Amino acid sequence: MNLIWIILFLVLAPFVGGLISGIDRIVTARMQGRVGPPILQPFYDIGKLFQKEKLRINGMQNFCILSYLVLIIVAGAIFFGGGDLLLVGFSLMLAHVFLVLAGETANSPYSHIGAQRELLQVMAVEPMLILYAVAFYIVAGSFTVATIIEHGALGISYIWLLPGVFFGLIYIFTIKLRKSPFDLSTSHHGHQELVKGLTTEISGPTFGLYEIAHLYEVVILLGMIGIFFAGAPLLCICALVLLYLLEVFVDCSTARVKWQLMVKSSWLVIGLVAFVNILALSLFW
Amino acid sequence: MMKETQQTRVVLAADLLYEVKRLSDRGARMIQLGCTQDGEVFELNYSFDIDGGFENIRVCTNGNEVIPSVSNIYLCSFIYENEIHDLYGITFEGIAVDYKGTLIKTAKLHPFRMDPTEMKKTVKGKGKLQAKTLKEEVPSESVPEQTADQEIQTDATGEVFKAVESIEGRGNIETVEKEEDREDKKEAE
Amino acid sequence: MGKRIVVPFGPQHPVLPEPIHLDLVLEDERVIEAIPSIGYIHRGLESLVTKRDYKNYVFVAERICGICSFIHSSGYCQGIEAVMEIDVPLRAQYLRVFWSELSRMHSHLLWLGCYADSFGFENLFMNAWRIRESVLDIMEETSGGRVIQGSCKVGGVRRDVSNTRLREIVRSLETIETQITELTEVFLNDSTVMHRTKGVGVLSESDAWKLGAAGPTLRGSGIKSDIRTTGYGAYEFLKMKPVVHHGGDCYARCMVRADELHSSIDLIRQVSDQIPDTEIEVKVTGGPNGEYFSRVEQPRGEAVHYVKGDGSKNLVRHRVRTPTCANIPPLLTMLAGCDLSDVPVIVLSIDPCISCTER
Repeated sequence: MNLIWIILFLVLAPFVGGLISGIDRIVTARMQGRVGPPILQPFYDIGKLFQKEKLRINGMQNFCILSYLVLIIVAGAIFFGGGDLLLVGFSLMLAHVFLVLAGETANSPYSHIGAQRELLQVMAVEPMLILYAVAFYIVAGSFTVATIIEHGALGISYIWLLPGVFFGLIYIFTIKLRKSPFDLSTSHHGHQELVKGLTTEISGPTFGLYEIAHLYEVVILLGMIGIFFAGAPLLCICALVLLYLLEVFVDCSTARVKWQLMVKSSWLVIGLVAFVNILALSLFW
Repeated sequence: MMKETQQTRVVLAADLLYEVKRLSDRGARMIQLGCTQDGEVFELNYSFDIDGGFENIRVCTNGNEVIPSVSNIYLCSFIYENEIHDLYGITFEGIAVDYKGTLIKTAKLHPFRMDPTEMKKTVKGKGKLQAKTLKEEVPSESVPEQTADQEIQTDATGEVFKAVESIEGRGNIETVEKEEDREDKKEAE
Repeated sequence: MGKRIVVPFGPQHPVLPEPIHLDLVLEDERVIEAIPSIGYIHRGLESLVTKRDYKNYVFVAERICGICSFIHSSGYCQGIEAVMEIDVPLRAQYLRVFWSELSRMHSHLLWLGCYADSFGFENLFMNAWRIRESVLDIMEETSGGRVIQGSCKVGGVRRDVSNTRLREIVRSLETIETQITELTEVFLNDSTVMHRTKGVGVLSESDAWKLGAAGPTLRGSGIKSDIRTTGYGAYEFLKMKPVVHHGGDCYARCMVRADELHSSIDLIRQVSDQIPDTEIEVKVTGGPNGEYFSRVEQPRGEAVHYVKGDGSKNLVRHRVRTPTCANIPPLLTMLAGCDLSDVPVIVLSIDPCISCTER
């Protein structure tokens, strides 16, 4: 596994993720007709969180959030080190299970219902991650990221071969990023019926850890979308920027939907678009 | 200015249900149920709207009578009856949805129910109260009980409890307790 | 049969505009029943009546609520004037309608914003409140106050607005009207918004009648009842039709309020066309002796101001029955059986103004 990439990921990902988050907030604000916060605001926020008093509900919550962070970092390290895509998917899923446990340990009904909704989100997202790995196996012949990028550099255009899978991945990107219309379990604003949902009872440095984990996750997801454009780095960066702006636009122009619609529509997209894509490939490739 | 013709009929508590049923049969919509204390008499005003016109039924009670609830005819009255029970201490019999005093929880039970002798003092002593500037909301020397009432009702913060505890000589002050605590206390006694 | 949990909703909740406490008994994200508890914002304003001159009490009546403040003061003044048989000059009555309708507009725009916030559409919230700023600017320049006007008094109004200024205001309202149309297009036609509001919180026509609903809650269920049609104040000279929609769900109530915005602009136009040139106040002496139930149409519904005087400068009793108080029984009925995610949408669709309910 490529050690340099792993170290680069470990060190740079929070900063890259933070900058992306800062630009996100400014673009959202401008779309709403406001000025918006400074671009480094996410860093100021996380820094402030670590200065706060450590209010733990119980020891289990701290352990769960720490495990969440560690598992996300492990997933990212595997991905950027050129490892197995399936392992990345499962590591992400396990991380979210720990997050759900963190929600369940708190004594608040908001936290419990938020945790249940997070589980539903995991259910909506996981089939896609598995299909994603399977699709790349069919096209590139391997689950490992290093081989996939190699083959991409050699001329296989993943984006033309896997448009359905690409679309499916973008659909769940909205769920993973916790943006409208799918910001059910917790959202960036505390304006839902569950107050802040899953993260209602998480505060102080523990919440800071949660925020950092989210930044790592954003970078991993962007990476996962980026390997569709392996072999054309400039096109890759342009595509990622456009995609993120599209996500912000969708966030600003939709209301939050209910969990039934989220799960059904997610499975529908995965079933109709991604699965059909893979079926077609496996028959004709 | 156009003034609506508003007729008020005074009925006895025993005839209340009959009168309300008659209005309901005529298709009236219940507007409100309000309570006014006039010395020793509590006036309950039941207001109805019939085709845009206004009709009012009044029941006069001494405050200790049990009044029959009209919530079987007009379900909306339950909120007003609960409110009047919590604020004035008038008991209604057979409220469809009865919150048993937990709708409005106050530091002092039945805060709107005033002692008739105090009421007359307030109305007559208005000159003294008005002479003071607006800054001094609480006249300290003339009506101490009234002071307490005013403090409780105008302070919506935790200082309510301090005001209640600092006054002596009032018989029925209770600190705020949850319904369960009250029941636990009763069991313990 | 799932386990039942009790989720406390309020009094402090980011989605609620005002503090009301609801204990929601839930079974797997479905609400079984809601138990209300009010009293968090009780200020005892009604007891101040016995301590303040009835003329000065107008300032207290205004402050019952920050959103519907002008209509509270005009309802109270109307009650006193009816008891004392005062003839308020026509120009003052027209100006009261002018400010009342501006109040209604700013209240509905505020509601549209909070409603959008309740289903997670912050962008609409920002846009609605931006349009509201233009309405508040008009109120500030004509009366001196953005939310609490202080321009109503017993016997008339305190300030005058010149006829030329009124015509200019009507012209500026045309721009606002186009912006409002664009905004309400999204509320009524966007698919995610319809997903959250159609079929949610259904109140049948008979339930609305029995439970004593008021205002858009009543008119959204198909019952034609608007106190302005009784012709109090200058409304007897103005043409207006109550806005009624059938459907009884949150979507219908939203449609009622969106249409009422247009109807308010039309009423202000009529005021500007018809306003006569008379005095704006009469001198008032003596004290009110008698009682009267003054009924006015607030943005949230029918409000009743009961005033009772005995001839002295202090009233014996002032009771306000606000529309939100009347809308609480329908709210409890609507909440039974709904999803947890529908709770903020339903609570906001009755337009809760708890400071009015509590006084």
